[in-house]
Amino acid sequence: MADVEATLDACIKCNICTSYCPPAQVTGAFPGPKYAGPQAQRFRSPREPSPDASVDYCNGCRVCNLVCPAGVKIAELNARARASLFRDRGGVPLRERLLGRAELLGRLARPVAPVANLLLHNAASRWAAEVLLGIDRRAPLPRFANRTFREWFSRRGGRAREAAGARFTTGRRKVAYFHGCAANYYEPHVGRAALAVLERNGVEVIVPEQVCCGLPMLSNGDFDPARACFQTNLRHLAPVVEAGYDIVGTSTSCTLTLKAEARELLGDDSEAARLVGEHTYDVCEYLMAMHEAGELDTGFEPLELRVAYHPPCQLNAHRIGHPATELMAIIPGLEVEESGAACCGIAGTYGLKKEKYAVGMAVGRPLFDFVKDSGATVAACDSETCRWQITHATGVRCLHPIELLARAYGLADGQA
Amino acid sequence: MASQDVVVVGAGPAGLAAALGAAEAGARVAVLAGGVGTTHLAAGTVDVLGYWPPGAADPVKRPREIVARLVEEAPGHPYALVGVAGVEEALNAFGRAVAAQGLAYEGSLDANQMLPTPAGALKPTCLVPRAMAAGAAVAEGRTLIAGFAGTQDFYPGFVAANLRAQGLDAGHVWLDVAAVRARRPQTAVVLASLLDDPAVLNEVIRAVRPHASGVDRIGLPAVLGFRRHPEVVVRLEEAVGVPVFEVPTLPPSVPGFRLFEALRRHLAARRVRITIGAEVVQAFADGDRLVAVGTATASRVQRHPAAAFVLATGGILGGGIVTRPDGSVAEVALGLPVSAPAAREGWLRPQLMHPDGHPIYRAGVRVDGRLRPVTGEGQVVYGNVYAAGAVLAGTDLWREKSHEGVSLATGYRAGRAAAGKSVEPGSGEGSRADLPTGRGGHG
Ligand code: SF4
Ligand code: SF4
Repeated sequence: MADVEATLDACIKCNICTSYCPPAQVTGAFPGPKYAGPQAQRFRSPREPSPDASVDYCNGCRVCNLVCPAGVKIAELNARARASLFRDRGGVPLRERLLGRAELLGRLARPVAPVANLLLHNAASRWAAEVLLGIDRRAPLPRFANRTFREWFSRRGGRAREAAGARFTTGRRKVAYFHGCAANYYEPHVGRAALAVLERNGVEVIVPEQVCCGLPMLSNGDFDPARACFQTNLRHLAPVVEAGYDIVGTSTSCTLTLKAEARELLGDDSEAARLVGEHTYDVCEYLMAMHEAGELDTGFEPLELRVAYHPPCQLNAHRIGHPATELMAIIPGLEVEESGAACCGIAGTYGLKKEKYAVGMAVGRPLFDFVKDSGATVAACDSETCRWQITHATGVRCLHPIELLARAYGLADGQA
Repeated sequence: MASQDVVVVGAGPAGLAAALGAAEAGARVAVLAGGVGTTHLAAGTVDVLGYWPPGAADPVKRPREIVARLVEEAPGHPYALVGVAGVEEALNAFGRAVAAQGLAYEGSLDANQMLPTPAGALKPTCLVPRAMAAGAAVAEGRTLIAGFAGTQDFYPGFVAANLRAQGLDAGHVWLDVAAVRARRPQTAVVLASLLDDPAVLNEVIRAVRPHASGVDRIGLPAVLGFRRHPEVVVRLEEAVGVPVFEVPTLPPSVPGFRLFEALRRHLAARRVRITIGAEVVQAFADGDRLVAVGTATASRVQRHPAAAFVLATGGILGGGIVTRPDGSVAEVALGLPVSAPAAREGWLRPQLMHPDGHPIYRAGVRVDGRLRPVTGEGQVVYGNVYAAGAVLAGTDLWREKSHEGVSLATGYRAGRAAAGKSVEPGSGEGSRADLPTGRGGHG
């Protein structure tokens, strides 16, 4: 793994990154990746205060990393700079700490989900959250599910199960499902769809012990608790990988964090981190690999549907292409149109913040226009916060591609 | 990931032309690139041959003739491998592709055009974006160069003074447009997107119009719209009543972005998959065939198998060729043999602006008559790998002003060859020029 700091010397100052950076196109508050990243980095020293606070307007989309012809890890430089900015100011602000703790909120709210939803989604409390915490009252917040994915799984027996009619039973693949916070607390149906599709293809799926991947903390500049989460996950997941399982997730941000983001930002070069990173897959990436090996059951029923698909930034940062597009293309009848847009603007929790909500909505404009103009009745995206943002801005329902695959297998989910 | 016939490595002009050639020949194509290519740094024009021999005092006037002469004089030059007809075939394919996406180019191999640069020099180029075309007439009548007050990177007074120093009639003016002044950060791309907004464009029109009387044309920095560029130019011209032209800015260049976007859209419509941010770091070979290339992902190397491959990663500027502190010169993606000065001492000549250029800029991959990389002994390395563009040895593209011409011609040819279209070395199959040469519409 290339050292993040070392890459800044490769910068040729071409400003291609600035020309693609989504926030820099819409706001004057952010001077862009070249200035906030490799350029400002020259003036950052561990013993001195950070020279520039504008780096907090970087949304972490990593578009800059992808287009940079010189391989500079700008987004990671920025994430580290944000963390040290907060350190200089005497600590991570309350709002940032709160937004980083999706899991804690989920755990507190779960036993009282209906009440929590009521509290979270009424005008008065949204007003209070805006005034007291700086969380924009218009921003898309998810709803807690009445039953978590883990609860559902343990009621199902808590063990791997063979699906009726699954074709591959010998030398079967083994998967440990990483549901993350979103599929556990907010969208358990996404987790159930992933399980159903994998089991339909003869994969043995277990659900290992796990905690939040830590990305919400990393992107809110709260590195210490993120490190604790990552260590806990390594303790749970490394032995599972050693036992022959691959880690598969439905959230492109969790899987990116396990693959590379935590290792790079936290500078963790341990053997366990490498092992887990190398064996982690996005669910569509995994299914596509099965397809290439001739192991995917392609007996899909036709889905007469037009889908506007947005490959999210976190998926692009995996640098694996767009496996969901290729999988959906196999489903007869399904018409998939891919957005060429860079970013939806939410970037995890960025677009929830009062001063950044409008930036996020402006960044997402080209995508929202694409979804609305596509004539599609349903949108699809691999990342949860992006799905919520797309629906918030367009009113169009947004699914995880795995839900469409499950439907095409006739694996309807009656347990929403 | 999914199976493809041809994998193109690199998304600069050569890689995109290769993808076009292969896709037109019916192949399923994937383009993999570590970042965006030199399209974004260049002016957006198609330079075919500006100076020959390199370093000549006078610019090439009729590229068709001089490319034909070059083919005779320099058998190791990439143009000698594709011939004049091969160059023309590629330019035509390029012109059709961008025009289909609403981005019209004008010109032909018959004549170079002299366009003002951001420094006010005149540069010979072959095909020019329609929005720059009126700049080729600066030698006649009076030209006004206008810039936006409060912005960096474009100085109209500097451009005009240098035009005057060459005996031309040119003046300059600063336009004060509040919306432009207020906008930060002011990269060229941000300004161009700003001008897409009809309200801002109206402000610009109001600022330009008073200066239009008594001039024959007005040059503005190349930020006249991004997504709605053709419309922006037409509206501006109609409103001010004289021809308007773009002068390239310092990099990154908006015309380069537009060019890239037009080709990207055109290729996407032909089901070419383009992945930016997928750097090729490994070659999987089986004897004298390349089976797959591997790209770096977040945590693993991903294999991309194909029947044939085109290497179009660029030269020293594009990052396809690197120089190492120990004096070695390497091709980064596939580790192919490189023809280069033997030792570090041979890289550069003693003066920066030496009339013969610097040997290191001619370093690159040597190929056979079918554009397949060869070893120092002339042995083909892989039978199914082709190379194109600035990664090729034997030319100093920037001194010759031949960068886009060499890239498009060798790229297009390599793409067709990779798709299984057999072509005779040094021959072209295309028709004569069918590009519009007048000031036509936007296609
Ligand atoms: S794109 Fe990369 S090389 Fe260019 S300015 Fe940005 S960081 Fe530097
Ligand atoms: S990560 Fe995204 S928002 Fe941050 S600098 Fe890069 S492109 Fe801009």
